[in-house]
Amino acid sequence: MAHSHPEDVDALRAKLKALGYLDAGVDRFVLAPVRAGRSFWQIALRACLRMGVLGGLLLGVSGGIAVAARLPGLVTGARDALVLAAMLAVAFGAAISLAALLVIAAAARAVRWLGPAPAVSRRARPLALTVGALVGAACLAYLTLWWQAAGDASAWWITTAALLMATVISALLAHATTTIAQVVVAGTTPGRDVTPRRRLSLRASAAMAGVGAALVAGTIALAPSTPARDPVPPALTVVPTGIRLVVVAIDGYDAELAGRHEPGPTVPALARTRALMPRMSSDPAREWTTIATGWPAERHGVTALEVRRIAGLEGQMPASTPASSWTSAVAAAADLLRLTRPALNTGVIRREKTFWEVAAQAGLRTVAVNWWTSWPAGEHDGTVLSERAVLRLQAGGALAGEIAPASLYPDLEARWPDLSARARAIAHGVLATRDLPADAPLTGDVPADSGIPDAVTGALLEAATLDAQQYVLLDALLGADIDLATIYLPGLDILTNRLRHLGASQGATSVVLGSADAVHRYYLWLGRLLASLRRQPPRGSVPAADSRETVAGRAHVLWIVGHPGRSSAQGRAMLGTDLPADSPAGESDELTQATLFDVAPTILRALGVPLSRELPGHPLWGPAPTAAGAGNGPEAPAVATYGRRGTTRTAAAGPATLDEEMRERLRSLGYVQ
Amino acid sequence: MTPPSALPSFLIHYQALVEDALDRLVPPEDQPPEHVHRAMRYTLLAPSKRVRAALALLGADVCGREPRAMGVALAAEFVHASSLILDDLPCMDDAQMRRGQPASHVVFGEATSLLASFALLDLAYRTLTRHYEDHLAARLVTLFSETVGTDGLVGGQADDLLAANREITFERLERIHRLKTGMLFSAAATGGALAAGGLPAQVSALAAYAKNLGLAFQVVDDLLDVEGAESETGKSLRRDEKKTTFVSFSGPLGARELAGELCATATAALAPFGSRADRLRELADFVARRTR
Repeated sequence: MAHSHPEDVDALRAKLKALGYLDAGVDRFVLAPVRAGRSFWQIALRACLRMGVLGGLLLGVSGGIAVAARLPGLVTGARDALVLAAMLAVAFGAAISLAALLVIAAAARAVRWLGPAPAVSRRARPLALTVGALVGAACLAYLTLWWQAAGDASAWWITTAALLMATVISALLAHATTTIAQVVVAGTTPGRDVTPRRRLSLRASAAMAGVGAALVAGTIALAPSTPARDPVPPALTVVPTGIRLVVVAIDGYDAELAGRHEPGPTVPALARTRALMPRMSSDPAREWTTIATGWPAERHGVTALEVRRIAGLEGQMPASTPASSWTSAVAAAADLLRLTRPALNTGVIRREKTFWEVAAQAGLRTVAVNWWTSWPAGEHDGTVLSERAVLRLQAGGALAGEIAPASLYPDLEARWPDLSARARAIAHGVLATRDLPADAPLTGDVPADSGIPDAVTGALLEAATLDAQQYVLLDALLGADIDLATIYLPGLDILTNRLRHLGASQGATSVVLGSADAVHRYYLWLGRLLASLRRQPPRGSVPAADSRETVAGRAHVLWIVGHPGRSSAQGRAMLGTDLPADSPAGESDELTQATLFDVAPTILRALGVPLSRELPGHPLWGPAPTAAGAGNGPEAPAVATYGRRGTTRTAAAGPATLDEEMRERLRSLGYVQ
Repeated sequence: MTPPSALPSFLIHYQALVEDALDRLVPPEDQPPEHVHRAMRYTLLAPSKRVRAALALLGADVCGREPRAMGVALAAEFVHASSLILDDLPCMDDAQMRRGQPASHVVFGEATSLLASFALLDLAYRTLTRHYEDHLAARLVTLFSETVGTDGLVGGQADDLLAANREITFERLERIHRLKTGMLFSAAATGGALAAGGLPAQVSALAAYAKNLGLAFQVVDDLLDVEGAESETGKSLRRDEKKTTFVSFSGPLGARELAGELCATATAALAPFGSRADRLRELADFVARRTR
């Protein structure tokens, strides 16, 4: 009889399940290899592989989502997401298969030691349940600890959802492991069958879920009460201070050494007030990004100059840190399988805003030149000539985030031959006599014979040219309407390293003496360079230098100098300024308790930008009240946060990004191997 | 390669064992009342797959004591033959063919067939009580009694009669199949395990196996009624046209798919027994593919 309401198979299947049939679920999938003619170890191996497939699928997808959320910049699109999920699925699947097989093998061996048959019969089932619980608990613990360790805390509901997901997956894997263990234990103890007791398995799963819920509750209770991620940044209302700042950052500057070059226009001599900032490592990208953002590397994300790029992914993965063992494990595994390749760190991975980005967000007119991880530059970051801007101007072609706003590029590209020629001329000024005054022209006469060996002269001119190129670009963009101009000069650091290697390889007395002379000349040349920036016509300026030096324009100067050491503990930086200070330490005093985190707040306070209460550092000096606006004293306005840097910023793909050219440039300069 | 419909070798072996034992237990045809004995032997010893007996023996086998289950295997075959005679009666399904030969009532008449059916049922209980110790016999008799009563074969047949020429729900159809087929499958498998001293958990696993296998068996039966050949199945076909069957709900393809899934589920329930349950798995595979 044809039924008048035929149903589809899915509906009938559902009814059969409701009637108690077809009730094998995961077990049926995992235990499908249980067929005639297979040994128990073959069965265990195949079942564990299937379990790995199951776990890999679940954790590959969910882990991919979590990793993408925790490592902004790693996933730049759907293709990256798929590749990442596939990689994680393979890794998790293999790990789960192996772990399950090992634990089950141990259980099978243990059951033989349990004694005579009755004892085995009594204990085999609890043993299988224990094995499953071990695998589930290990999985849950790993996922929970990873979530805690991989970066800062998320909103409580995200953490709860993630850990609940981990609990469910762990319970599922525990159940599957128990089932397989029962089969194997039964098989290795002939005559002692261990029948799965579904009720017990469900109880075990429920127990796992309970443990997981307790862990979730504990995690939430113990989680640091950090604010939710990516809060909406408030509007920043600037309290005018009447100050214009030129912040010049010079890499490789030793303030103590500079003191020996007196008399001369050295950078420290330009400052009224100075602050010593201990601890500065030799990784320029890490430390200068810390200075620029006011956050430690663990927070801003730029932990090293080099990062790893995973094969198949356009995004980048930060270098591992002690706080991210999971990242280290993935990196090690990827290295082993040759799935990664080194890449340069870029702004794609930076998660905090720099001081010029905050200032631009507040509506100030800013220019930033050559800072680490300023590429790719965003259209709302103010005027930015990133660390790849010179390469782009030299190579030509379409812009790929090297300069912002993009409308500047055509003009700069057209002017580049002239700017480049001027940079070379300024660079030759480094060979000028040592007793020039600070206000001497940068392109003055150069003696035919400086007395410096040719090899040293070559290194000196190369370093000076690099700095001069950045200088002329900044000079081309400076004007009276710029509130904040900042430049990063790497030349001195490069020169110092070059001369060190030169001395080690040649060892000639003339080279050693010539090197000392060259460094001396470079310090004085930098002093003239910075003095020229102070002569800009703006309303005011402040120079900042790191272990090198900064110069301000006509108004004020804020500088940071530092001396990178072999380790963070050995290095140090120094901040100085010619700002009129209202520091409690008093004018001309030298502060000794400053940190690198204080630079950004100091600059922002000088400009009248409200400070974020999140920032770990504090302004070292505040400008005196001026007729142009209210003072920015202790009651200066503050905001809860500046917000975090947008995670949608991605690197453009392909050769247009100058990745290889940049890497080659840094390799030639000794930054990377 | 073994053809899909070929009986597994172990089933052929069990057939021989069981039929030999049945032959010895049923009174000879020349013993009075001869016509009743002839009717009993006619249906009982007719060609059969002996699936229920095999279930009992295999259920005991996976528990390590196969020989102990012969009594249960024979009892299951007695009950099954008894129910077939009753089902084929004109007042019931009015079937003309059974096990490749004319139905019992066609050959011996309704009265003799009724007597033969009751006598076979009696032999089932007598076999159980004579084969096993009192406490186990009592337990097995209770099990078979539940299988035969109004919560078993009788109840299923009653529902089946009421369902003739009527549309019934899927749940009602499942109940009919469960009572008429599944209960005896389950009794055979679990009875075999009980006879072999199986642990409760083992009995429970075999019950899950038998439940799914029993329904799969009946689904395939419905399919064969639509698609099979009378010469192969050995019984009257197309008689279910007046009935609602699995095929009515899902169509032949869907029914075949569900039968396969039920057999797979039955197989999965055997996982704890390891390779010792391979023959039960083979049996499930045979049920899913059988053409007779």
